[in-house]
Amino acid sequence: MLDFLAVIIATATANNVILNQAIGADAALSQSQSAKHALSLGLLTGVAIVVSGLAVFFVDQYVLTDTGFVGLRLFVIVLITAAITLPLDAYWPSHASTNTVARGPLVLANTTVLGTVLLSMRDPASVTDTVALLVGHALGFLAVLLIVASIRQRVTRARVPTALRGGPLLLIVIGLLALAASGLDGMTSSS
Amino acid sequence: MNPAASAMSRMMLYVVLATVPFSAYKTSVYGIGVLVHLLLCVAACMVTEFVCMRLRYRAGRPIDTSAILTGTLIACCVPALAPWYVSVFASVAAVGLAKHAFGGAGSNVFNPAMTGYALLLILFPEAMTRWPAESVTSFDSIRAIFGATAAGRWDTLTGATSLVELRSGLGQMKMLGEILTTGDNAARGLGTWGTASIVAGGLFLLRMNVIRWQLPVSTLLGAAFCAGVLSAIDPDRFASATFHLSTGGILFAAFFIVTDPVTAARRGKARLVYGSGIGVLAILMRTLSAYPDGVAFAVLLMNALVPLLNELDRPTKPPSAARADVA
Repeated sequence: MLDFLAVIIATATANNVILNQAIGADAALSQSQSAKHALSLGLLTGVAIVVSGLAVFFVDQYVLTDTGFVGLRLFVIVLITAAITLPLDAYWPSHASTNTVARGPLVLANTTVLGTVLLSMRDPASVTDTVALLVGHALGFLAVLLIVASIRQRVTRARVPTALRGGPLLLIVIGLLALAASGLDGMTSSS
Repeated sequence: MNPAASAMSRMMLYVVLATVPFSAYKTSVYGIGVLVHLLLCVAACMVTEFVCMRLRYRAGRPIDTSAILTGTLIACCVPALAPWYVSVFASVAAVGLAKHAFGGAGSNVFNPAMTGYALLLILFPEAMTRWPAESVTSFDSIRAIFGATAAGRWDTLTGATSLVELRSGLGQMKMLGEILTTGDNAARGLGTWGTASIVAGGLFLLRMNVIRWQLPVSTLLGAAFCAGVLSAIDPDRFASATFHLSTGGILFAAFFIVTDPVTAARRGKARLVYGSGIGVLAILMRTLSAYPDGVAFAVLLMNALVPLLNELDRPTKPPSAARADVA
């Protein structure tokens, strides 16, 4: 149980998808206008990561490996994540005013989901490890999205130098967040 | 200068004054290198501040005195025999990146001094272990700082801090009791005078109403609670709360870093969460992560959460109505 929790915490912080693996950085930059929107998109992506990650795990373990079609792995993973993310996104109860914006990140959310699912595949894989990695990645993505959105609201009121306004400063914020999270490096190896 | 700005710079001056006992203590233990780094940090911070203000506004604006404080706080963390460029780098990053990139004094999200220090821990890990051994002459200190020490001499000049010793001892599968009683661990911690110098500065700040009690108290309680729980679980592996509070940067951070009014949470409950979060995270990083001391990272992580905490702890009434209630 403690190991399970340690993997979740380490995956969410020290191995964070956005801060450490730089997969969801585009989503953090473009989808953090408001905390509410970030929460909605973060939850959607989180659910998509966990559901499609588990689906991929079972298909990979019990269909592809058993039948010997391991060569088709990547193709199947792309299909599964798309098949799960598309309907989830279409029926996600998002905030009314951000509805049109929420449609936009379809592809972005997909790369995040796909990348994270690929990252969570371990050899040899166990179901607990996979669940811990997926939940950790989902929580880490949601947390960074929320933090970046709230910091963004704060810095829009500040007199930020013109050259750094918007994207550049957000990249600095993400960099400093990664610096802070690196303090948790090595948590799983020592526990 | 407007009244708010002058009140702010008076507060900054008080904090600088409050660090004097600790700097004096550190100089008495680690030698002249402490003062050299203090000068380097303050000078580099002021120059960076001046350059940034020039770049941003052109016209002569009053230089913000908080740069002096930032320099002083960085100097309190840097090892006395670290090379000169370490201090300069941290100061430039603190004022330029953590403060001016975010819009200058009052707008920074991350604590400037801790941003500079955390960058040093990542970029110059070897230089950050150069705490002098007991007998180091002024001449040796200055030669070490300006890079004239032969590579083979470092072993005789520097000694491990108690947190590093604890970590390497645990790595060799020693029992905690054994590590703490052998070696010169007792001399390496803060000791009575070091603790007293920090607490004296902190009490002075409380007395002058510069800091609020919630922040240092919640940080120390969070750290003590977390260390207490860990050492109750496995006393052979995790040191006691007393050991953790009397070593490294937790006590210093609780009074001088966590209390920074710009980067701390604004209201009562959010403040308690912010402070105790730093305490708990600092101990977790110390005991479980790859770094001997994690206070700087803990402060930065909680800094990042402050806008969210402020949002969650927003008063339900508009500020004007709330003020009328108090009156």
